[in-house]
Amino acid sequence: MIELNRMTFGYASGAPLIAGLSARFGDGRIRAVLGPNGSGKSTLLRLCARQLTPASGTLRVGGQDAAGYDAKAFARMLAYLPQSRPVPMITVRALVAHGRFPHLGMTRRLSARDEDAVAHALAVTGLCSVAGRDLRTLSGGQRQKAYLAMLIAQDAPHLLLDEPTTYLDIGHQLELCAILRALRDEGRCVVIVMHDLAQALSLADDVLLLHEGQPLYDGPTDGVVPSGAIEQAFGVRPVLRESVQFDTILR
Amino acid sequence: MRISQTSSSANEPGRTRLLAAVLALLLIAAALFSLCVGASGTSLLTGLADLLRGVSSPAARIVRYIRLPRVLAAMLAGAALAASGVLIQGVLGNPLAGPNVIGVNAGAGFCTLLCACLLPSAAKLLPAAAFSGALLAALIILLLADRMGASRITVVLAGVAISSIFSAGSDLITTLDPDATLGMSAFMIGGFADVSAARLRTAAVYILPALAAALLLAGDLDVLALGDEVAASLGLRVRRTRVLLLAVASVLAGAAVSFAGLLGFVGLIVPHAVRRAVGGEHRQLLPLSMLGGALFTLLCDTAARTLFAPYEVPVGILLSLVGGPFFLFLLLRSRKGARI
Amino acid sequence: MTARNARDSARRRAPVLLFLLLVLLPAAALGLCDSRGAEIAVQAPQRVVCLYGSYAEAWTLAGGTLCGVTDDAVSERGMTCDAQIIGTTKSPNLELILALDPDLVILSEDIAAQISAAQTLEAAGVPCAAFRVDTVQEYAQMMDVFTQLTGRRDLYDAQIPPMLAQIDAIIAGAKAHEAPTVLLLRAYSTGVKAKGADNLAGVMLEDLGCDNLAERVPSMLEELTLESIVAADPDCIFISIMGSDEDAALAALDASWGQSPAWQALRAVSAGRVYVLPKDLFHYKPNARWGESYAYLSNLLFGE
Repeated sequence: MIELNRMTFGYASGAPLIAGLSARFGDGRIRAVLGPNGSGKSTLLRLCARQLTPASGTLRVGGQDAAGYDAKAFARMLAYLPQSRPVPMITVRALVAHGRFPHLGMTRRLSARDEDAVAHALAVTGLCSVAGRDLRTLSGGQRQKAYLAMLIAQDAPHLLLDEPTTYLDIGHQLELCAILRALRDEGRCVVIVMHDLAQALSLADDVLLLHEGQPLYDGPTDGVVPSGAIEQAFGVRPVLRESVQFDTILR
Repeated sequence: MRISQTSSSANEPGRTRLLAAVLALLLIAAALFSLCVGASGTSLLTGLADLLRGVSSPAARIVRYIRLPRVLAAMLAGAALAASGVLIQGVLGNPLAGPNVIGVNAGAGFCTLLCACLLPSAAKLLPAAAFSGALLAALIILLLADRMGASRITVVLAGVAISSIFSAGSDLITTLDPDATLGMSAFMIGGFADVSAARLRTAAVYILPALAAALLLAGDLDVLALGDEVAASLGLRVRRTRVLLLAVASVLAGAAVSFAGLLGFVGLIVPHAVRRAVGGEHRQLLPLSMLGGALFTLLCDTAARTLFAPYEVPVGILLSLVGGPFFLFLLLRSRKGARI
Repeated sequence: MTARNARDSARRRAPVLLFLLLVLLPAAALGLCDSRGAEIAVQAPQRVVCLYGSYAEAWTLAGGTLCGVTDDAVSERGMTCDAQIIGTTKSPNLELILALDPDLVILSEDIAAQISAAQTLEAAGVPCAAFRVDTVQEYAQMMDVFTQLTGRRDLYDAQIPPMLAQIDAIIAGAKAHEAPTVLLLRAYSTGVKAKGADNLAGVMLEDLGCDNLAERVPSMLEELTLESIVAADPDCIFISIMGSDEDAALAALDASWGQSPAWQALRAVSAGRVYVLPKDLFHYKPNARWGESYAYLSNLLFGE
């Protein structure tokens, strides 16, 4: 469980981006953080991941004050995947193995348990056949799955993902969503920032809708449409229509 | 769900080990070859035989006091500079960076000139001056970068600024006291002609522990290569690790400069070439680069002192002549295939 | 102790003391030192290598032979000997030196590369002697050491005292004249600097009683401008050229200052008293021709 209490943060001197925000992200739930551009979604995620220091407010992760964890202990608690990152010249297996870093001792050697975690992560994401390939030779979708496998290997009960499905084709998007659902079913707390409203609403259990740093809606997904918050935030109206949906073909 | 080991991933550690064994063998062979050749045509076997029997013949003295320190110096400097290059390229995320980026050469050059200008008779102090200068420049850059968050671009810019200041200082000294540069040209180009066992021992005291530290930190460097945010998410203390790695790189490059002069290219090219063979994982890249750097420098130095005997081509020139075109070749080849 | 016992013990001690004195005296006399003050650990070296052309020539003048020299001994000094060339002064080849198995290596204290070479050679058990010669007195001291090593004191007596006497006479003669104001310039590829009494020519000018403006106005040593020269307006200007291409350096100097009317208005220039000093007398150590150097300068200054 991630609890934010009256968080305030601003990038430059001036009006803060987020002011006095309080929210709670529960375990075993997928939470979508939505909002128009510049509403503070990515910032909120970075604050939860301790990558930014708030001007005021507290953060509790796993029932304890986040400031009380050291770097590796916190990494064992919470895993964060940013929207963009450099792609190093390593194999998929090596990348996934890095997910075990917070669990490794001084010698930085992988134990049998670490190897099992890596194998499990590769299996869950369906990357066993490409485990030996260089990251750069993979398609965007496969690479994203590799990073997700790294997060899975990290084995943290809290997962924060910033726009994990943007730039992926529909097939890979659905695969990713299936994996995220499986992670949620394991009891983890999954928080995702998404741009695609329709996909977010079909994937998430709860929604936090931000507008200019303030939570316009904070609750279960099925309540967000009736609340009228979407009109207020985006200036668009959700309309229920007969539309095409997609399902993965099991090959 | 199938968990299978594909053939390529099974070969990977095997391929690295093979390459390491090959490099190590080549290094030993090169060392023996280098001990055999020299301007005087002394035979290594004669020298060794005399040494073992305790006879102080010219052959024994040449092998022990001239060739052996020189071979060790070339290997040590090559390993240190290549390791320094790997660390700097890893920290800055830029495969075109080298020890120059952290101002090592500029600082060493300035302090050595200053020493030659103010204390012209204290030639023995020059290596210490070079080392101090290198560390001073790196320290300033690290402090500046740390204060400003140690991001990659900050380190590079701080390096450019500090290097320019030190270079200007060197030019100032040259203008005010042109005589100071008279004995310095060999140092500026870089070479192992002056190396003595004492100087080598002093430098080894710094280089060997720093190499060990670098090997221990190689795993952290791999995590750093994933990007600052991902690395922090995995529990790495990014800023502290970056500063630590740069400090180790400074000690390595500074100590190498102190007895080898301002050698270029080794720290830039060797990691590049090794990366093409084994990929970007520092746990393999680092030790193989150390071996590769030692081998490359040793071969160049052997050529430098035997091609035009009794005159020596400064090894810095030979390194540039060989390294430059090799680097271009790497660049051109990479264009056809995947990106570097 | 009775008086008789005291006399006996003194008589016994005396021969021992005398013996010790006899043994120690020659050793003390043979404690030759080089310019570093380090004792030279060999007495009559047969196989000598010299890393500096000037000193190589001086060694042969002292009656010694060489088995190894640097290339400047041949190219600059014009020495013809069957010694092996073992590299350059800036980059002596230590392996070749050791291969010659020398008893003594003579080198220059001024060159950093030679100091570190000395470290390695001494570690390998080869005695080294470093010298620095900037004045004729230091040359005489070096020749003193050299002739003691070669055992040819006759050569010392034949060369040095007459030369020193000649120089003393020239200096005495200079006292009869008024002290001229001079400026000593050294032209580099990067520019021109004024030099004081820290080099061969500067010392000689000072000995001859000249008033070196660079010594009087120390700022000229750091920064030399045409204005400061015009303000000083010396009687004579001496120029020494650094670097191998004398004509190019002179042409550069002519192009930069020579065209300026301020330069041409200088007293020294209009009187034709701007002299370029020949390298073999004022840049390389003159060795046996030191007297000639003083005479050359005295001639230019006072016409005698």
